[in-house]
Amino acid sequence: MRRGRVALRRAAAALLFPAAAAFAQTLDLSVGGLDIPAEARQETAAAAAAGDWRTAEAALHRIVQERAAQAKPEDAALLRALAVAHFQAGRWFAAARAFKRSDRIEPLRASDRFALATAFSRFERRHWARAELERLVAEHPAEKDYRFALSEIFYFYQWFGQAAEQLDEVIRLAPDFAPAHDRLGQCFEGMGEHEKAASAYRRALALDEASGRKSPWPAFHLGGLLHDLGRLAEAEAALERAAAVDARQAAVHYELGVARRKLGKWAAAAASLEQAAALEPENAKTLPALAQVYRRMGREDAARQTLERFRELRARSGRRRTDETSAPGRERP
Amino acid sequence: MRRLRIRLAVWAGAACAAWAAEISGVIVADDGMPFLGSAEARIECAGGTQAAAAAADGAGRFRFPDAPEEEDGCALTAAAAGYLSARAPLGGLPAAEGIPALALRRAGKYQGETISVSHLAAPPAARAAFQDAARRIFAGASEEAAASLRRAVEIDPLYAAAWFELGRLLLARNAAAGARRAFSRAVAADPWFVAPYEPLLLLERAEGHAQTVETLCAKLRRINPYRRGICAEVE
Repeated sequence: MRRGRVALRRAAAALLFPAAAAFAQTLDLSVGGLDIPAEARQETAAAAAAGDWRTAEAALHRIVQERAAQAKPEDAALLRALAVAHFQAGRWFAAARAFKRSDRIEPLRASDRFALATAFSRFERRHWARAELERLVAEHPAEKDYRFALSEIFYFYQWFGQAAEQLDEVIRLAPDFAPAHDRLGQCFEGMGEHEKAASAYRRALALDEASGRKSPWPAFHLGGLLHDLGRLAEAEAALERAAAVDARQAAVHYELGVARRKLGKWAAAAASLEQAAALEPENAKTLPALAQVYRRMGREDAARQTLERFRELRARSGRRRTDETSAPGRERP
Repeated sequence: MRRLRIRLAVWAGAACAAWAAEISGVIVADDGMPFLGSAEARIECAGGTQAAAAAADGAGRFRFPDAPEEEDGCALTAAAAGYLSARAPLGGLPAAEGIPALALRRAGKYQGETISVSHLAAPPAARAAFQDAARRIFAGASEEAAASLRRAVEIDPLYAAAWFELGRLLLARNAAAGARRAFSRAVAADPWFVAPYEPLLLLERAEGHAQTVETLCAKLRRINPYRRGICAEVE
């Protein structure tokens, strides 16, 4: 059962943070050169090989604690290994702390510093992540991934101009990197330059098509922009394209359902909104729109039940104090 | 984070299939320091139902003597005023004592500007000295607190947060020159830590150091061009 939940969590993380998920696979935990007892080395190596990062982090953490208790100086390589184990276990705060302690003793390698920045971002400490990424960009100006990650931070802050500057440079370094065009489109959209935004999204779509990359987001962003501009038929077409690329995204179905509702396509709107609600059953946002559509279709019972479900979810979310609730919307992906 | 599990089946015989668990741990702030304010830990299960709650003590420690054992959908959460809540699935808690799983993040958009990352990197002895100073500040013992902070920066000269707190204590005692030096060291140790800039700017301006003021404001503008404050007057 636990394995199933971990797999589900990793799948969700991979969807939300594709770059970080791919990057995590490249972080190696080499324990061969560590100054630790052979038994602990074997235990850690075996756990890491099996993907049991909780055991690996526990073993390494124990050694770090033992060294501290013996008043031995901190070991940069050991702390770095502990940071990698924490990172792979998804414990971002602990990973960041171990990386920073290692960095104080011996400057981190670029890939480790990038992991540190990623951990900071995952832990919502983007200001700290920015400091690390700006250092990486200064030291490795031709590396597109660092600039792209930096642009993500500026975009999050809604500093669209700064984000666009970084993305322009990313595109200069890697003209066929579709996510940069897609993100640039979002920056233009943020700055109110709609035609440039649509053009950037279309460029990302064309690059995805040419490369075979399956991402629903450029079409989703284009559809959302056209929706906002009132070009509903074009929006519907773009959103259908996004749903065809990846049918598992509740946000895509929600946006498509709302566009179809505005077009008066009630049955199709209901189908899309039902799909969104099925994909994120704990998300209340979809339900009022779905209830409206049911009413227009004369399905009063379904509308009433949907609103009851909406009230139930709202009451529940009001009781919970959590920052992890999500709502389908164009801002999120 | 400490997790101690007691299998009742072991003690009560094979016929008993029930499980009980003790969960204890510590809530930390997002700079890695023990949470000194008022915080609460809860165990919440599917549907938002609350299974247990425990108030954290003055050092952020909490304990659930009889918690559900890795129920599906159950999570450990921590909450405190002014902070975003932290949440960890019960099944995903660390296997070892001392690995923090619950770190509270301060609410606010520009996360991290007013807290220093230097806490994370500071050696344990320096952090202990800082914690000691924090306790003494709460108790109103500023002389002893200043001594602890000096010890912290002696151990770790790049401990920006300790320099900043030392500067604040010196400023409260009208020791402007010492405060200015301490704030300068804080800015030098962690240029991304915004908190010391403002008092330092006020002190530098009072001294008539226009060039230093402009340099500091340039740094601040680079960190956040939309943060105004005292530098708005300099532009």
